[in-house]
Amino acid sequence: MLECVNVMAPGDEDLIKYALDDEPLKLETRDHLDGCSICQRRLARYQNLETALTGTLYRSQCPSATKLNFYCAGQLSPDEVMNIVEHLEYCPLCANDVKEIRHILASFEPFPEVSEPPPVQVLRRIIAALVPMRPQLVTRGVIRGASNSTSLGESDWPRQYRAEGVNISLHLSRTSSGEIMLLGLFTSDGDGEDIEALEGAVVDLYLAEQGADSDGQAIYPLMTAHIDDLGSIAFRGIASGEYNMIVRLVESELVIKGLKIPHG
Amino acid sequence: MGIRLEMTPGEMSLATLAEYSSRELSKYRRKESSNDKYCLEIFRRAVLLGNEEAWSVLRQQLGESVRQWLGRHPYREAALRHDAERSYVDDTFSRFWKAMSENKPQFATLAGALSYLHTCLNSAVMDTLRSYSRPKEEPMPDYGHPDEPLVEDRYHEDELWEAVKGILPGERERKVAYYLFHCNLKPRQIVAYRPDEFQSEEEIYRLKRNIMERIMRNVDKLKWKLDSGERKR
Repeated sequence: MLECVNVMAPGDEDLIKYALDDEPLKLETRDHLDGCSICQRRLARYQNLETALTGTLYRSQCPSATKLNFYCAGQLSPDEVMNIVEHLEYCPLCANDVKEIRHILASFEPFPEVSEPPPVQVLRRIIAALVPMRPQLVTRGVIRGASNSTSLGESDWPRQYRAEGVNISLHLSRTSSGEIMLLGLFTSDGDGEDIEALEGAVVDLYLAEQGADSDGQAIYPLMTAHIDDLGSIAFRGIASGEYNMIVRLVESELVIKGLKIPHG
Repeated sequence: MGIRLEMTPGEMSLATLAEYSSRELSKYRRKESSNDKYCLEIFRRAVLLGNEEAWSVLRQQLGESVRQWLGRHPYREAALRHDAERSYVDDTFSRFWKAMSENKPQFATLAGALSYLHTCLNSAVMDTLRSYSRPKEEPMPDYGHPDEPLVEDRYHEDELWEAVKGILPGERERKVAYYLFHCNLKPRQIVAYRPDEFQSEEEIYRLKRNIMERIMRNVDKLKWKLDSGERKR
């Protein structure tokens, strides 16, 4: 077992946090790691093991998306249904998939009306305000804007917004396959929308150049997500560029403009 | 003066059936009163009788609809990053054919048949997205060798999971290992998902360290178990 006796050596848990979850190390610990071959090997062991395990095991026990779809459509045998029900009790990914599938299948309309466009519903549109955050340590692997400056620029992440008592925290992450994910978490400060009421709310992502706030025009969003029961959303496979986000509530829309996704 | 009896769909030639079906589908699309029986007869011939020409007619008449459904799909942008529109349409019909051949569902209405077809499209999109969200596969590292080279062994995922479960001491560790390696969840996501079971991220990191150390200490035992499984097969 590899051990480093230096007092500055990071503990195993700190190494795991740093190597696998991009949590920052203290500056002096980071300096030690940069110069210590033992700690670097410790780091590599955790990284290699995690990559090997997730690469092989990822969703290996999960029913296919096809099975989940036919489960939601009521097209499986009782035995298959039983197996899936048991699996859903402990698998958050499949539970989330089933929720999405049910929504997609329920909202299916084979030939929607194509006559006149619906009258534009005038909703209160609220531009969410960017909340300044304290500068953070620069860490390995965290996606940053093109600038190396630690001051808060429009391209810095994570980003915090606020509108009508709803706090929106947006974070960029990178999957093992290199895809960029935009993650969002909605919380309430008690004066605004009840977070439970936000569950299922549609969140649309538009390319900024699409002009998503052009009224009267039916412009399809680039991507759509729904707020889950934990108040979170995820957009996967985001390309670099500038985006606008619209959270569609019952009586209003929260708009977040100018989300710049930097080049990897 | 004689009474002219109309042919039933089952008696019609495929060409006549296709013509009637196309006409009724247009009415259906316009939300006018329409008759499903011609299109359903084509489905019957394609699925129950295995008539390939009937299958071709179905693809011709419904292919464009499937393409439009993909255009309105909530994940269409992500889906089209990985594969072309045409591939999804083809995959949808392949899945439809396979599902129909295995399960032989009988559709009482056109709406039911179209829903089934749409379910196949959704399956095609979600299976594709899942396959691209999979972390890159790497071989298991070898911690026994002093220089710790990577070895080329690759194991079946079920056997690896059983072997890993076998060396973890309790249900709690096995659960956390499932969330970490199967679901690729971060500790904060695990705590958010099961706040009744796990109180803090620190607890998850502690468990994760223990799990990983245990796997690293037992990697030879793991490999032996996996190799034994390979020999039995």
